[in-house]
Amino acid sequence: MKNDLRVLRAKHDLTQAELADKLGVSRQTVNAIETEKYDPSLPLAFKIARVFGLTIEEIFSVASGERIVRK
Amino acid sequence: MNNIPHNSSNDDDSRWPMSAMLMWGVSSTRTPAGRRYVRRCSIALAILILPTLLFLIHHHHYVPRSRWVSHGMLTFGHATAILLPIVFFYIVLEFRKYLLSLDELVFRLQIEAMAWTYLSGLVLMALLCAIWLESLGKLDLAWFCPVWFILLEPVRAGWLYFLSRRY
Repeated sequence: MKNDLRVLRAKHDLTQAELADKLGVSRQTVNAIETEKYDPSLPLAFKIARVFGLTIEEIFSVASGERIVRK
Repeated sequence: MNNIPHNSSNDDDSRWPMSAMLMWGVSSTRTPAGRRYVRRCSIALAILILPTLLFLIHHHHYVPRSRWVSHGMLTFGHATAILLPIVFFYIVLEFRKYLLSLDELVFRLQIEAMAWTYLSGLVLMALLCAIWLESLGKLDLAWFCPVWFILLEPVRAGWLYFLSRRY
């Protein structure tokens, strides 16, 4: 999953630690999401979207070549 | 304008605290929950270990089994037998509290570390039993003493550290 978290964080002039505080998670979690090593849960994705005043789709997108499997 | 911040070491490095992970099996001792867990576990372990050490220092000479009661060893044995599960039950409760305070990534790491520890424990125990059987031809029940399970705690800490490297 791709995301624009780093760009948004820069626009809002926030450090990883400050964003982590706002989200109630550890700085390492913010770092793992930013570096696309970890995909957040839906509640956390909603929280992130709320912090930046955007929708989830505006922040997260499926990376090219990545498939959404429908069951 | 490029809004992407410079790749400073501060932001690109996840900086998991190695010492807290390897020593205590927690992701951080700086958070209130991590601090509380480490402090309470230390106190609980001290309550268990200090009297044992004092007793062993005081009774360092050999005492025949028939004279254990007069030397207070049986009483001590009973006290330890009662204290041990109480202390470990308390640590388990504290660990549960600590787990529930974690965010989703750290919680996932802890659960994964526990799962791998469980599997490692099974493999290690099977290996030890095989070696024991091969060398002596029979199993000694002392090998199944639950106290050995304490040795799995450093294994969990090791797994936690190893798994955190992925993030």
